[in-house]
Amino acid sequence: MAVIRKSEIEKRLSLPVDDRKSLVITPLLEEAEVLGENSDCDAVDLRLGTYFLLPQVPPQPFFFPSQTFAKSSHFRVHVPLGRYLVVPAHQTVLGCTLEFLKLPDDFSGQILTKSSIARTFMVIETAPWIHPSYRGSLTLEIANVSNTPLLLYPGRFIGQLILLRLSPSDEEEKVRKLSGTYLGPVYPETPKFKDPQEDLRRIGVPESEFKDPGTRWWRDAAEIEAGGHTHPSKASRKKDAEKRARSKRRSLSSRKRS
Amino acid sequence: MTNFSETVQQESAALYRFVDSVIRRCAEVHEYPVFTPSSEEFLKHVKKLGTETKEFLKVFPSSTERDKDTARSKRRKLNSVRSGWENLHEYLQAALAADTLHVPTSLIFAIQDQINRLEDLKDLRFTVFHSDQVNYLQLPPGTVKEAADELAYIVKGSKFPLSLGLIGMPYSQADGFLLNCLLAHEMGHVAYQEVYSADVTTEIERVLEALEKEVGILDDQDITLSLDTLKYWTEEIFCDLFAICLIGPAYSFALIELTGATLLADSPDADVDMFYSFMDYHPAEIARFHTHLMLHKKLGWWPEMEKISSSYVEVLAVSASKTANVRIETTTIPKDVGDERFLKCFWRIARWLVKFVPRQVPFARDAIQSYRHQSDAICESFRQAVVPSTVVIGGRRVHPDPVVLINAAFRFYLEGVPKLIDNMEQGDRTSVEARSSAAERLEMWALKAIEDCRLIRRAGAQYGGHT
Repeated sequence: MAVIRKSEIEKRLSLPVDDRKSLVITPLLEEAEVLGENSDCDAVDLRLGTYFLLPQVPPQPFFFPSQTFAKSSHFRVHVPLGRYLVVPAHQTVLGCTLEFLKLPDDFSGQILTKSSIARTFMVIETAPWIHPSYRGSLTLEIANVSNTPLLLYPGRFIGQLILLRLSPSDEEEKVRKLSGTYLGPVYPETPKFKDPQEDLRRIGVPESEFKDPGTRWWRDAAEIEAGGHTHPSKASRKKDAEKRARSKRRSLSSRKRS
Repeated sequence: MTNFSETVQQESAALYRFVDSVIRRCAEVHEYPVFTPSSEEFLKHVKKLGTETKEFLKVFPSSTERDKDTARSKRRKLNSVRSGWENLHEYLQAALAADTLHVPTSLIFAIQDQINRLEDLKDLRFTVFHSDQVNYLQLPPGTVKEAADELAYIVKGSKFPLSLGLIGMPYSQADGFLLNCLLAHEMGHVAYQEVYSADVTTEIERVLEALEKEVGILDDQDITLSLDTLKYWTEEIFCDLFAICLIGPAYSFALIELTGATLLADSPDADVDMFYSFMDYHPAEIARFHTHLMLHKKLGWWPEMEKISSSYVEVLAVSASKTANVRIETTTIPKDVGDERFLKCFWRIARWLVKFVPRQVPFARDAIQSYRHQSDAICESFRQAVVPSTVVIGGRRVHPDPVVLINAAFRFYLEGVPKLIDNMEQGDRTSVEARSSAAERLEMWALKAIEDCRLIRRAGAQYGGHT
């Protein structure tokens, strides 16, 4: 793997989008500065976008990485250019780059926190690797690890994109189709999980051995998504009690039959 | 015995509490959610008017209420203030729901930017609110502006901001792009009322004078009815044509999508007779599409549109041959005139509008040339799931103009979505769900591209320019 130079980046930016080797970074504001002679020869500076997902305090005492929970774990805010977002000390927020990227199929990429930002103890990425052919704005897992609240101004440079060439392959690379999971996001998107027992079942962990955090929380999350209660309602507690009573009756009657 | 002073004080306090509870909603607007500047202006105005009303109410009750007549007159005044606030109450919540996450902000700005290019309308801006109807609407000045100004007159408060239009959109289309192209028509209503209505009315009167020469002098009531009906119909046509001049054929396609008019392309007329009726306030859809076609041909969009393989284009193409079947379903047409003659009057004005409107929007043709050169590249970007705010044509990077983006995005929606699905892992172009989700992505990319173009322009690059 070799780090790609600015001159190669410029060449790739000028290829038509249907060329597998083309690179897209748009909008490239202040292009002369970003790609010019005075900029770094091996990186492109990227700006912070205007949409954020703020973590919500979950209704349960933990984050359960499943399909339903992931959707209800954040709320979206828009911070137009000129305004700022305060990230309190030791807090996190999901943001994204202002630029939309399309990587060529022979490049991987990596996004790093800009050094000036990093020196304020703001970290922008914990999953910095970008696969070949990726397209979309980059979701940034922003964390303020300092002891001071920090302000984020959308539109300012926040990260650096480093591109790396894949080692050549002996075989002709097949044209890969677009993946539907995070297809061309332009906003930060919530994580998309499968339910953990489904993932674990695939590697031979039987459901009976899977420890879930309690079905009550699962149902509550479903209620939240449906615009329902954030805490177990009286009605749901009553339903639980009825269910328990029914199953008790059923087991009693089956014992009688036997 | 009634204590009049006590009654007025009691009623003033009740109204004070009501106004306070209404404007508290505006006070809750801090950093988030964010509103467009014109929505903020509307909310600030309501808040200011509320504060002024409260000040007015504080000193309103006085000793004079001992007199029954004075008390009655004061209570009437209170009633007027209350009804003014009830009116604002209706739209405040709808405006608060329409923050920048829940309106197509970049599209609204793009259309507004186009309107502001016109010297007479350079200060026009729009507050968008959510409506529970599946339709787009413009609040006529009488609905909120005049009511707010009447209220301001009583409480000696501030007047409604000038050149601030109020536009409603269906709440379900919050972050959509395609149907929201219809906002251009509603903005056209505001432009019409601010600038163009006098010219159009003069033309209608001229046509009615010609009609009188044909059928004899009409009585005053007939003239008023005819004038009003023609005014309603022609305002709609004006706004359609104005929208086309602003954003091109995408407006026609959005109207076809909203009205479900694709049926017109291949159904017997009897099955789609709802598209042939002229109603009290709206001309028949088929007549609207015919005027669209006339304008598209006049401006030069039509050869580009004909290349799009879609039933939406067919609707426009067949509209010319089908307008003979229209009928009037309103009782406001004078009997002596008859429907046929009245329709002739309508068509005379419609044809005049096809010439008049582009004269008012001198840049109406500007985007056609760029569209011709850039739309293939933009559509290819969409097929590749890429935001087309920069496209490469002949080895040069180009930033398309928002109008070009809007029309290329609609073109891709009409004929390209299956190609995007084919390009996706496990993409099934026969699946309705897959098509819907691909269209949703397309809308998202189109709005992002329009937003990017605004940023690029602000950052100094030129639309359509090379980088």
